[in-house]
Amino acid sequence: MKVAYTAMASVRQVDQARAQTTNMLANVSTVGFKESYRHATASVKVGSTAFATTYQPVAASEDFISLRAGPMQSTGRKLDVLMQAQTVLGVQASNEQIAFTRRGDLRVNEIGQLELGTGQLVVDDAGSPISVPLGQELEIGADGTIVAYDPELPEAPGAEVGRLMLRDASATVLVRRLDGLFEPANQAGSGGDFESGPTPPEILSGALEGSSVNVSEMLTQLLDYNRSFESRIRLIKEVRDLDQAGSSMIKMA
Amino acid sequence: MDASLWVAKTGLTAQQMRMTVIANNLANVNTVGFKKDRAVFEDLLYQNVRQPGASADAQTIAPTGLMLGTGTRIIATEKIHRQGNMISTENALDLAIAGRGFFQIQQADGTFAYTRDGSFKLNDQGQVITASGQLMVPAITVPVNSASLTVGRDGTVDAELEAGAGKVTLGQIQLARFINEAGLQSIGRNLYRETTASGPVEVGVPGISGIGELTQGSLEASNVNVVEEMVNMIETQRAYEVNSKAISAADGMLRFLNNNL
Repeated sequence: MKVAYTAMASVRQVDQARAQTTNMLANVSTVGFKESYRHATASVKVGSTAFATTYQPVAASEDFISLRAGPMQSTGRKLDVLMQAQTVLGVQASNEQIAFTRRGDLRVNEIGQLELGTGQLVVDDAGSPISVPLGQELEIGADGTIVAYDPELPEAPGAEVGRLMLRDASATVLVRRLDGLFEPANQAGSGGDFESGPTPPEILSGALEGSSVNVSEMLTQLLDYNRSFESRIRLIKEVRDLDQAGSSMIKMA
Repeated sequence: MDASLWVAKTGLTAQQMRMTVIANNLANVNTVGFKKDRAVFEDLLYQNVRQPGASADAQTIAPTGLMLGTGTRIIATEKIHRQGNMISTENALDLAIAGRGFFQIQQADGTFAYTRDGSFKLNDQGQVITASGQLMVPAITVPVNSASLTVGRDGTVDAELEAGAGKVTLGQIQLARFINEAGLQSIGRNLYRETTASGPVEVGVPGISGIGELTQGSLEASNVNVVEEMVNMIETQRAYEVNSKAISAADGMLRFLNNNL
């Protein structure tokens, strides 16, 4: 019967990976969503001298944010920004920690501060919220500088309001937080700023980044999980049949 | 039963809702002053399966954590207050706002509502009302013997009286504006209501500091872009299919399990 338990163990180890894949498919329309989960099953030798030949399948998984670009969706809205290359945007999480995101759907809240579509405040280079003046046209430059123009005086130079906290994460490993935002792996659980990498951070105003989930890859993965599940269940069934055959053989007439 | 069944279900629900938003945008492609909605997606909270830095055994710690996702949802529908096209109608009481302002409308219960729809009419007493019969604020009454009506870019309403009786100024239209237009609550009939999220209303005359100028004889068309909505619709449909595939995959596994064991 040992083989039945081995098959069951591998079914259970893949369970989590299946839920993660489904979660990525569910977030196929979430702006700035990034894949983060990679999974493999390894055969690990377990047991003592009594079970010298026992191998158990163990899932090895890692949960780093992959900053592969998602599709660009042009919206024409000036407060929508798309982060180029490995650029991430600093925001204030609910517990006032600094965290990062690839969502670029900025808006102005009721007290004139910039926030994300999900309600977190966007912060400037120093980590404090950005307030914008009422009734002015905002333009966001490629380096994250926000300039306000008076629509009545189009020829007048704009006033700089602040600069978005943009960081290049090409040299930093990011992990996911419970609220879905990112934070550096070496500050996991506490959030915080990190040193920008060698590439200058760059954004594009007037566009959003779609979800980077690769649908065909995820569906193929799901199919793979599906079929290997079936073969494992098959194995359990065969073992049961064998067992039954064995016990019927020694049945007393 | 199976976590992925419920995760995929959140995807279906959200895509279904997004389809409703798109259908509403398309239905209002000819509504004067209509501003399109955008569904704002958010990933749901994550479950902490393994804390980063947790002990793997006595000597080693897990280098990374594992956050298990639980699906998606639509957190809000956001109005995109982009200027719509101007349609010239040559009607004296059709007004369009070029800028961020709103007309103020008095509701039946005495409270104010705000609109971008400038297709005004006159009631039996000569007062300026919206197409659905509500009074514009400040109230402007047009005398019976007026021959023509002029609304200036700054909102001044002048009437030329019949039989050479001269010109009278009837009042000045004022516009309202909000720090966060996207926070206004849509209440139907092209009207919006002030909320905490929109910030308090600021009233001013047209033409000052970004509140917008009036154009007489024009209407602001809906800002729905049909092509964009069609593309959104295709995307939503495919995303819905993908999530239903995920459900049928999980279903197939459970069925196989039931049939074979």
